[in-house]
Amino acid sequence: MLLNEKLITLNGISKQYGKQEVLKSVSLTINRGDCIDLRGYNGAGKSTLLRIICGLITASSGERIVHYPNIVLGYAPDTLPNLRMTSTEYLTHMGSISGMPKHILLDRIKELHEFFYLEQSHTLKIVDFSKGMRQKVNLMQAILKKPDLLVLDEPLSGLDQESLKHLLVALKKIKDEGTAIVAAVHASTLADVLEFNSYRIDKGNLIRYTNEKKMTKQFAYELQCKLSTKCFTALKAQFPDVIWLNDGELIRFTVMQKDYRPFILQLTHEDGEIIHLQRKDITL
Amino acid sequence: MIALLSYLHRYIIRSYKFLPPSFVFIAGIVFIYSVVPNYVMNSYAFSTTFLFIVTVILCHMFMHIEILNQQFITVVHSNSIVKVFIAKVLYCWLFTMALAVFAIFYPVVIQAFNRQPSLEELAIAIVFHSISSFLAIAITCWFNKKFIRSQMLSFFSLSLFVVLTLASHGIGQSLPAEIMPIIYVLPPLNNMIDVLVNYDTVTWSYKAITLAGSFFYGLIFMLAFFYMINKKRL
Repeated sequence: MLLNEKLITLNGISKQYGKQEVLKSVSLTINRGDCIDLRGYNGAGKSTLLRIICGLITASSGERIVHYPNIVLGYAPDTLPNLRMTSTEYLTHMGSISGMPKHILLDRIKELHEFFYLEQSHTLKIVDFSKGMRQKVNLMQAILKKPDLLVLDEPLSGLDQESLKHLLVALKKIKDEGTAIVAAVHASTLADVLEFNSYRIDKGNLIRYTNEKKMTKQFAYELQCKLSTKCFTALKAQFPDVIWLNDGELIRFTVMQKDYRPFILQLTHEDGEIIHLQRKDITL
Repeated sequence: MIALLSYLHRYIIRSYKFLPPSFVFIAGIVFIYSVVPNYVMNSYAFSTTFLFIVTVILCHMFMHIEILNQQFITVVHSNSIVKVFIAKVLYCWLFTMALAVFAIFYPVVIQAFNRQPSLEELAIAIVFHSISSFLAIAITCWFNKKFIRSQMLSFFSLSLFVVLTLASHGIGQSLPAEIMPIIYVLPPLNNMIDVLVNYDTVTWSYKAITLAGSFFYGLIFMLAFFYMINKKRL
């Protein structure tokens, strides 16, 4: 096993959903032992890029080259669905599907339950788990078979402080064993603790942070608002960079720091009502 | 493949979603044979058609039963999207075969026929039910969310396709001769039903051609589906 051995290369990958181009000519090489974290606001294309890396979805153009023929991938999506299975049943199925011998699999499942401090219940099903417990099972399935490349989509969401510490320790151990890790995250926690190489997806482009570049704290603001059509049209015209989504009767906006003050002023001036406001660390 | 089938079995059985269509099929069969006596091959022609419709519903459900995130995980573990879909198709066929066995042997056990069917008739009934189910699965695969984004639209267009299939003979007769061959695009279910209804009068070569034609129709649809799903991914 050689460090710096190429695992996967993406050459000029673009991805379009309808008319919207989510990724624009993205190129990236992932070597064994690499640790990469992808940052960007909601809808920037992080999950899409991770799925392309795993070969789960195809790119609209560009090529994905797998250099290592028998590559073992581990993939943890942002959430694990509510399943009517116990964690042991679920992990046994996933391990069997990936071809793990039964005796090794059962020992590994026990080991992972102990590692993540999750009780190996024979009755409690995943559907009855808390979000944090489901997230642990999600990570357990991704590292069930030691992967050459571990791809994590928002691995820290829903975890309590204790579990967060365990996860960081687990990732450190996996990283030290030579597994490449690619993770999509909002905050800079992984980069701070595990010395990841940080990339940002901005308007479909993949931009690498260099060490010389000062990591300044930057925030995005998520607002859930109730507003008239007139107010919405005015805001859309005045703030083209603001991302918006229909959320039932409400509109959910993601506003970058530079637009935050004028956006709020304009919103309140047009009689818009803020129902919920949350600041998110998207340090670049 | 066995690991995938075992996982799908647990996932589907614990979802309980298979119960309503399966119940409708079993209740329908019990109801039909509550009136006796019945002609053997005509009855099997009915249950072959009924199985085709129920298989379409079950297959559409099984294809969409996994949440997208779980589909991603299953594909990564199995290392092949085609393998996952082959397992789904195979599971669906095996599941509907259990219904077929009930439809074939229930009337024999309760002696609901005007006479005991011969071994040849039972064997033919099994083959026709199997191919009817296979045909239904091969078509339903294409009305997948991967190709038609809206699940509602995919189900409605599939329902329309099933209605056109069942009515293909009537449609063919009412169409002008120049465009009549268009009905050959539809699954040859009606030809299979014709063979069963006129079992004693049709020749063995016609029976064989009908069966082989139906099988290859399904096979072509299914192989094309696997090719497309491999190209398109999730």
